[in-house]
Amino acid sequence: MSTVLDVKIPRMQRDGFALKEIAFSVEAGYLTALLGMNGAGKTTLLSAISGLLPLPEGAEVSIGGYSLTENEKEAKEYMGFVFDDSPFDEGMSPLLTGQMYGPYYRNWDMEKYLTYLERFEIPKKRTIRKLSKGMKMKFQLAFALSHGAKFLIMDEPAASLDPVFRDEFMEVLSEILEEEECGILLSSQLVSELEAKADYTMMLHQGEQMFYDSTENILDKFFLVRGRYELFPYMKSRILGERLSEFSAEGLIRNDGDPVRLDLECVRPTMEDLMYYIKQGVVKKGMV
Amino acid sequence: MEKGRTAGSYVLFVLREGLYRMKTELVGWRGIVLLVIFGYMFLDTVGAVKEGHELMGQGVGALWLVVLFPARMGKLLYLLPFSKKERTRYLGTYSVSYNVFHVLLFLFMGGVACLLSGYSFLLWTRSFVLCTFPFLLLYSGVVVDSMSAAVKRSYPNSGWFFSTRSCWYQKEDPVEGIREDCNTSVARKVTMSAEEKAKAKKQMRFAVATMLCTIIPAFHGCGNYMYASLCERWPWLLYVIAGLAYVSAIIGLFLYWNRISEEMNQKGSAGKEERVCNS
Repeated sequence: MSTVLDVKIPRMQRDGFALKEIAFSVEAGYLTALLGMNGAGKTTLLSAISGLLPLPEGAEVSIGGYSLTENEKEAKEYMGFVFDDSPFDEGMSPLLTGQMYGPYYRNWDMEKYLTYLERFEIPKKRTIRKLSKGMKMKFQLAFALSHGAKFLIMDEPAASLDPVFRDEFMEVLSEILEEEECGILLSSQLVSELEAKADYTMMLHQGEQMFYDSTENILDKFFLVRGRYELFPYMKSRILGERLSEFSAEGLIRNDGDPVRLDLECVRPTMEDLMYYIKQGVVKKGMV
Repeated sequence: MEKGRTAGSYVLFVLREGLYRMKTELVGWRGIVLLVIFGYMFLDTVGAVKEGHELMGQGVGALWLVVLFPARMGKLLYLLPFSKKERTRYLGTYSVSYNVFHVLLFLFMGGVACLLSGYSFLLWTRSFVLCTFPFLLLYSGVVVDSMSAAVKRSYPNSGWFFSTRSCWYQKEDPVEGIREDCNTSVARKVTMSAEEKAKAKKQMRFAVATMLCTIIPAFHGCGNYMYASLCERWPWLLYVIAGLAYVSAIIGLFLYWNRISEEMNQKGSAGKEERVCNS
């Protein structure tokens, strides 16, 4: 298992908004989800990692073992990008884009690119503007994979895709992870879908890294208890936060091995649940 | 030499992009607007022949031409595997080619217009060199600046018009004006540090300076016919103003390039702070 991305950002100020102490890495062959609410700093972080924003003093980002600050060119050779808002000229066709921008990469493989375009069923000569949203994503993916990227950075790639296309796109990503042995860092608001696919999860909240661990580990740290509200006082000391409705109550507790009352339903929380409790201030940094 | 890394390959790249533009952008609605511009330039030369007045449409034609073909690179410039030196070199090459592309296209249109109307192409070219070219020259600076900064500022196209919008907020609080302008969709509670305020003011000074540098070339390029009678009386006046336009354009270019170099060094470099306005 090799590290394709290593990030250490002590603090990064931007427009009065700050990212605080970010440290994580992405391993080859794994999908890492970058989750957080609107304004959590996901795009800022991805922009810093991809070199679209300058890094602050003391920050270190290395891609494929190459420092982004000291060896930007080599680092970018290893990085592929898939953005919701495609950076390519929309007036060009995928074929022309490959011919024009591909040669800037040392390991550019035009044949591989054409094969990917065919595999993803992308019309080579249609202008990018006329491609569907899903095709645009796949086209960017094809471009990234054809220059031998070992680290893929994806900012909201599935945000505007319909569920069927989203599934297909995620399926493609799974295949890519196996075939190309590259690591993926993917930010998305589609928490429930990513939860099932992501090997690791990094959660940002108001610029702060709440946790970064394997998705399974994170979810195993907590339990949701559900039941009648009258039963909750018996567990008051263990309940970190509550979500009440007219007919039932739900509480978040730590999975510390202690038994839970039998008359309460006990389930593993989802990432969405955790996001809710993070927003409530119940789940704090260091709890995972 | 590595594939795709030599200066020649950059030129080749840009030429290919130029050809691609010729192929795709001259057809469709841009082609139609180009025909309108051409028609305007043709009528301008006809008027100059029949009525004997000065050329009035060159600058406006050039203005429309550059508006029609904006430079496009944006984020990609920072995502492709360039070193800082290569990126700067690429921008320089692109900027020169961009200008050459416009000038050649413009000269071609002017040539055809003169051919059809019977106006002297030599006089037409003289007018172009004295009046219109400084404006085109300066605009190439705006273009490169837009390309290099498209990612970092909230304005997709920078240049004095967009930058100076912020200055109009000055009555209340210029810094807050810029702040409001820069913070687009994400609602975050924002307070500016003294350093950020200093940067915002620096940005404003730049906007005002480039605006001042734009006034003479733009006015001289697009409105020189307004003082044609003065130039007839004092022929040296045209040369003086043309000289001022060139000086302004060169100073403007220098300002743009200075900022671009600064930004090039900022990119991904540890220890450098970012700009105030980011997209």
